[in-house]
Formats: sequence, structure tokens, C-alpha cells
Amino acid sequence: MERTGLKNLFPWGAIAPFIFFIIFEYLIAFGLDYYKQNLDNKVSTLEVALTKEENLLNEDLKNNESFFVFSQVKNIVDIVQQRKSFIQVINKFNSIMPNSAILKLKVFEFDANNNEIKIEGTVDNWNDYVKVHNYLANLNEISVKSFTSPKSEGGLIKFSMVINLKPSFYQQ
Amino acid sequence: MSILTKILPIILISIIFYILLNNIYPKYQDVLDLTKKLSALNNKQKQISDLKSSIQSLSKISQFQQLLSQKETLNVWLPVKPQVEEIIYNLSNLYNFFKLEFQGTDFEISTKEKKSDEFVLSPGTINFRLSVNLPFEKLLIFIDYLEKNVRLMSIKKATIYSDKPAILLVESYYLPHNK
Repeated sequence: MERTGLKNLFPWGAIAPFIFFIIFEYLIAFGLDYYKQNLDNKVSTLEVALTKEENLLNEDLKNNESFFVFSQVKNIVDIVQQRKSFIQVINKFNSIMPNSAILKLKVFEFDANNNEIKIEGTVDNWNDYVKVHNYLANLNEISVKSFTSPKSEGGLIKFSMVINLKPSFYQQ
Repeated sequence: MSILTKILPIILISIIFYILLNNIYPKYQDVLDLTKKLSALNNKQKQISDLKSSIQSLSKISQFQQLLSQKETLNVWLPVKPQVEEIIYNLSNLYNFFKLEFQGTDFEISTKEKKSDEFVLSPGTINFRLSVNLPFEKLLIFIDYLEKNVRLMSIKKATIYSDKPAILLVESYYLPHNK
């Protein structure tokens, strides 16, 4: 009578799949834990071994003549390739700038790390300023990063501009 | 009893999802992260052993033997020490050539080596500032000489004024070596 009551209280047939699933989940969690522990051990062992190997290698390499010469050649090539020739920058800048009769530069500043040129100059009138600004803003090799508001002083329009040099600027 | 029968599956499904989200998923993520880390470490180990074998085979290559014989030239381009005196000598000659007086400059030698490649020795840098009072055309020739100097130099910053001497921030290099 009591057994029948308990059977009726919990519909075991319907609950059993859920219980099995929960047990299955715990088994997966256990498996993951075990695998994680295993990986953790492998990673820390490998990390220690690699640090040791790297330090030894660094010491060996610093004393290795062949490696030093190899590094020298690699660095020379890298420096020469990455170097931005200032002469080339000036020549290219001159070739793309508008007629110097319109624009007179007072300051020309080149920053190789930021690929930037800052110019400070004057033009004769507002019309020329608009022409110069439009011309520079529409060039493919550069982009106008920022500019100060132009001011009229002593009959000339003074302005300054920061120009970003695009990779195409450095192409011959 | 009928209420319990209705609620129980919902409770059990909630438990299943709770375990899935709070227990299994974080562990799975950890395992994925560790697998990635392990694979990165294995790659590094392979790189190290490749480097070792490359270095060993390097000295056997005949062209490399030729390079080794050109060591003196390489040492002029990229010396082992900052050799500031050599830079000063070059600069004073350059200034003399343009009939200018070299008034000296401060040399900023980087203690931290510039990292270019993980498995190649990294060069150190020597930065210095030059003031050059020359007309524009001659200034260009001065800069050209500077850039073509046998000791590698790059102009990192330059300011050319219409009414003042030009200011050049130049970077030169050296490759520290134990020997």
C-alpha cells in the first residue's frame, strides 16, 4: 500500500531521464575538470621549460658570432627599408604643392614617426587660401589632419595645417 | 500531488540548465583557453628549435661565410657600441664641409634596446639634435650627406624655418654585443 503510494507520489518514469541527464552533466564536469588539470600541468611544465630554453638560447645567441652577423644584416636591411628619406619627403612635397607664388611657407615640420607634416604659411588673399585648402584636401597622397583658423594679418592670410602622409606619398 | 508532478520537471530542467551554465560552460571555456595557450607554447617551442637549427646551418652557408668576412664593413654601418665619437667626427667634418661651426649636441643613448624582431638581436638608438644654418638648397645637400652617411642615420623630425636655422632630430643605431 505504502510502496504504491510512493510510486504515485513521484512519477519515476517521467523523472528518470532528467535525473540521468543531471548525472551525465556531472560526469562531463568531472571529465572537464580532469582534462583541465591535465592541460594546466602541461602548460606550466612547458612554460617553465621554454623560459629556461629561451634564456639559454639568448645567452648562446649573444655569444654566437654567426647569429650576431645575421642580426646585424637583418637590422641594417630593416632600418634602411623602414627609413623615410627626408630628401624624398621634401621633393615629393614640393612636387605636389601648389605654385609657390600663391603659397609662402614660413615653417615646415616633418615627423617621421607619425607620418605628419606641419606647415605654417601665408597666402595673399582669402581666395588663394580657399584654393590652397581645397587643393590640399583633395590630394590622394595626403589628408588634412587639422588646421588652425586662418587669420588676416598685415594684408596676408596666415594659416597652419597638419597633414597626414598616406603610404602612396612615399611611393616614387 | 498533481501540482508536484507538474512542477518537478520544471525544477529539474532548471537544475540541468543551472549546471550547464554555471559548471560545465565555464570549465569548457577554461579548457579552450588552455588548449590555445598550449598550442601557442608548442608553436614557440617549434620556433626555438627552428631557430637553433637555422643558426647551426647558417655558418655552413658559403654566402654567409662571405658576410662574416665583411664584418668590418657591417660594423661601420651598425657598430657594436654607440661610438658617439665616430658620429661627432662625421658631423664635424660635415659641418666643416659646409663652412659651418659644429657647436656640439647632446646624445641620448637608449638603454632599452629597440625591439625589431623577437629572434634577432635588437638595435639600440642614439638620438641627437642638430641646428643647421644654411640656405634651403644647401640644406638639402647637407641632409642628403647625412642620410647617405656610412653610419646608419635617420631623420626622425625636422623643422625648417624661413628665417631661422633648421632643426633636425636624428637617430643613429648600434647593436650591443657581448664579445
